[in-house]
Amino acid sequence: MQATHFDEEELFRAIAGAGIRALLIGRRAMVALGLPVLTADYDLWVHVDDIARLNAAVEELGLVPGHDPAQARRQGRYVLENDEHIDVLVARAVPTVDGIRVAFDEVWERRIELRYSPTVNLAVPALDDLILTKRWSMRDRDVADIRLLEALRASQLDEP
Amino acid sequence: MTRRSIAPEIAHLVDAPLSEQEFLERVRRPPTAEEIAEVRELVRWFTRRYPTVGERLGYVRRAYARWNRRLPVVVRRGG
Repeated sequence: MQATHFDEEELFRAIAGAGIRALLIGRRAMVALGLPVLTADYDLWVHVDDIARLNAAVEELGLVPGHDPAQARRQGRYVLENDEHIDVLVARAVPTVDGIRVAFDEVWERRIELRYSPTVNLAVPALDDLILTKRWSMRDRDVADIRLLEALRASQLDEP
Repeated sequence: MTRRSIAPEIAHLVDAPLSEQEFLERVRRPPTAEEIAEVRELVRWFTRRYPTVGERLGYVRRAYARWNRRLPVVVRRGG
């Protein structure tokens, strides 16, 4: 694989510029909200109808989809990759371990728009929704993340 | 940044699935006043030092790269 110079701002600029319904989720969303946690990958949750447009928008950045849109739709997820690795979730809805249905359209409606830089915005789920996405699997590190997010939510409620 | 995964030999330490009962017990426990205060201070420090989202994500990219470089080769080779 050829090494590339990955430009994160250009990634989010391409997504926003193409009007793609994409949410940054996972630990990078936590970082965006102000929690300094480490992570290797990018996790995006993208509307199932926007897969082809996303692939086209990031092609110039050297990001190559692991599957075509039809296959990605069937699997509910795929990967965009160069020397970076972006996990792209495209499921319409995912249940939490205790059976709460987390639907993209609803999470998108409640999204938070954040300023990445003076000229680029990105979208993350609202805090309550981000916590639900962390309840999709039952890993130890998800517990740690949920506790951080719950504490962040509580601290915001305490703010005057 | 080159992506390196956790070696399969130790992946279970961070990716180990909990039982549903243990998971739900732990996530349903409300945060303590101490946890809330610590997170408030942490977020305050981080967002003052790195006011934009781009700066915060940049900090994490650099921190991850530093952490990754310190890993023994056998661990970095995983995945």
